[in-house]
Amino acid sequence: MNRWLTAGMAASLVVLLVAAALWSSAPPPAMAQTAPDVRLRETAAPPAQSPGAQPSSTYLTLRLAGATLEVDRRGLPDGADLTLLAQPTYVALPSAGPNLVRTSPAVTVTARDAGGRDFGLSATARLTFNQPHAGDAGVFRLGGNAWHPVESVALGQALVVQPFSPGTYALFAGLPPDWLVRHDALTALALNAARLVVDDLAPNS
Amino acid sequence: MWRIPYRFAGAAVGLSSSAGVLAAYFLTLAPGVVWSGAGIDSGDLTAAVAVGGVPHPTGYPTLMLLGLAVRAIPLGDLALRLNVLTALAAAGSLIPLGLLAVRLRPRSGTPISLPEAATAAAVLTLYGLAPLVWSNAIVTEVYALASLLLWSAIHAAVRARTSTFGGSAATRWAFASGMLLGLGTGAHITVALGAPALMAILLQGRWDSPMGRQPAAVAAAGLVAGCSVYAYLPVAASLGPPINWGDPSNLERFWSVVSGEIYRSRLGGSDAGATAGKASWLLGEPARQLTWVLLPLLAIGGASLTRRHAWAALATGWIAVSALVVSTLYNSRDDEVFILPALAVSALWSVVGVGEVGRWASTSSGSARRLFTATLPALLIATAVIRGTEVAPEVSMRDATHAAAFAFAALAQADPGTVILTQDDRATFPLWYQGHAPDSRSDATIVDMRLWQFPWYRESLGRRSGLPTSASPEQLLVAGTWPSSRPLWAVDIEVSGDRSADVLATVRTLNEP
Repeated sequence: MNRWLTAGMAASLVVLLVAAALWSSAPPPAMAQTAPDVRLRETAAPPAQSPGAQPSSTYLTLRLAGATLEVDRRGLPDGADLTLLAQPTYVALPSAGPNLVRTSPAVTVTARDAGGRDFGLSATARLTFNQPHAGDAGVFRLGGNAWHPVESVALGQALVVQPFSPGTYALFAGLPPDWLVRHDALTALALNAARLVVDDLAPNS
Repeated sequence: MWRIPYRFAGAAVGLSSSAGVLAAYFLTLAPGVVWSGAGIDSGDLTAAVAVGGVPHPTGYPTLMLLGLAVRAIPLGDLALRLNVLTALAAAGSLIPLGLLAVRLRPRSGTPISLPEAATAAAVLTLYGLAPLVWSNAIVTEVYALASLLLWSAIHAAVRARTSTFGGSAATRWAFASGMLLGLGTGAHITVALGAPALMAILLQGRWDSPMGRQPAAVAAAGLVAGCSVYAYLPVAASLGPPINWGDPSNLERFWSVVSGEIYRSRLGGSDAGATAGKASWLLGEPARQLTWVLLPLLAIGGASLTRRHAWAALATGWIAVSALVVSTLYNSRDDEVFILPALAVSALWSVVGVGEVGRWASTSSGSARRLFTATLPALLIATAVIRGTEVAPEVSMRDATHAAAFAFAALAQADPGTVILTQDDRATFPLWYQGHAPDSRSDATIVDMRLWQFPWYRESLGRRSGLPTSASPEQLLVAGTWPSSRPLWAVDIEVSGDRSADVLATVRTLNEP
């Protein structure tokens, strides 16, 4: 092939690649997952269903076996209630410092008024986590395939209250400042709440 | 000046770059199954290996068979072992690329100078450290193995072409090339697109004589032999494993799995403007992934190859263009990954470009020679080091333990006989793997509601778990006919970013047992 033609082709290739890299913008990612959402010819016919019927859905409060949520209702509007959403829930902690786990299983509390609408809690809201049964360590860490009780975290101390979405707050164990996030061992904490004491839950006005 | 004998040069370039990237891969290796972008399927693939099953289409029999061998090694968590296998395959894919590049470079057959070898190794290292390559090398996936087998096949074909015409070595290399391509097709079906490239290498300029066509015929026989790994799918399916996508135990279902029937709707579909936009984005990937430094070398190498070995330029060009087309037309969460062969071609051409620059330098003045022997290797090695440092935090999966922690916690807390409904890969796949791990909760049943639409899935679930399959669990719950002894949970997944830590998994109970 002619030497000049080859050189011209090489230069064109560089120009094309540079132009594509500089002026193209990333396409929106396709959301299709490995298990397909689309229904194909093998679709099964749904059975008859009574009109208006919906599956009931309750949050996983039963996982807090024996737990007691004590709410100071003086701070709550009439008819308002708190819903516990227990583990396994994983919430990113964007503001976590270098010595705090960035993601942790958490117990979340959703505050809803009498009309079923979420409402925000005051910035000073605190929920206290008590562990009456000393034998049942409430904080665990995952090492390999097993959860190991963590002895060094004082139970019963105040939890960090982290807004997650409007009306929903994630609770994280207040870890000691010298707690090191070790890449090989510490991966997550499991909070096994036995008793929650909630106070100062005045709604935002 | 130090020179490496030609017979060791390709191995030296390939192995040195391979060792470099392997260290990076091991430092960032995922500890198990993950939630992050490149590795969401790791849970499915690993769980399928754990139970000797069939993962999502197209079944990936080559990975499954290798995985079964890895499963037999009694050392550590299976998911970690398979991640190591992937890293080894990814790093190993640089070896055939190195061998190929040295064989295709100008002055092939002559010793290679140390600066040229170092520069070539740095180029391949840059390819190995490209974010797309790296992120698919540190968690169980099929693309690293597919790349290893594709480039081994192409290297074997080039060896067949450059061996004594009609000799037994040429025949052996031709058969090996076909066999490796067949095995690669079992790693990922898109490797089959390498077949025209193989034929271009073996046939270009030799089509006229029967003797010239013989290597292609031998390679075709090798291809059939390599593709026989697909026999794994019906054999595994016939044993009724708990993970058995498509249940390919008869011919119709086998074809459905192998041809990826459930994914066909993802081909094309978007409008012409969006397709063109995506194609132009993918065209820019070599510069973004491999760094701008390589572009001049890429062009010089491409031109050099076109002038000297048109058959090699044609074959590798076909691989790059077909990868670009597939990546453009296929729409899925990880469709960008199909551009990987084009990145490998870019790296290969860049190494050839290094050889071309070296040839110019050797015939030029002292200053040009010094520029090549000192500046170019230093520039590329420094680029590779900086690139590695930059990309490592971005792709690292070392801390990606959340998926395994979620699955462990969910199953550890499930009441006896719990049925867990999922509708997201991030929930289904880790639960599958955790559910089939040794000492796991065999009484809990995972039901993926997107797979519920398929008869093979409902049949398998009903057979294994005793669940009623006349209607979905949610429909039975509404109708009041869901068995009260089976707690019913649902997992919701919210994703706020690409990292493993950006996934929020929430478990709800749907009934009160």
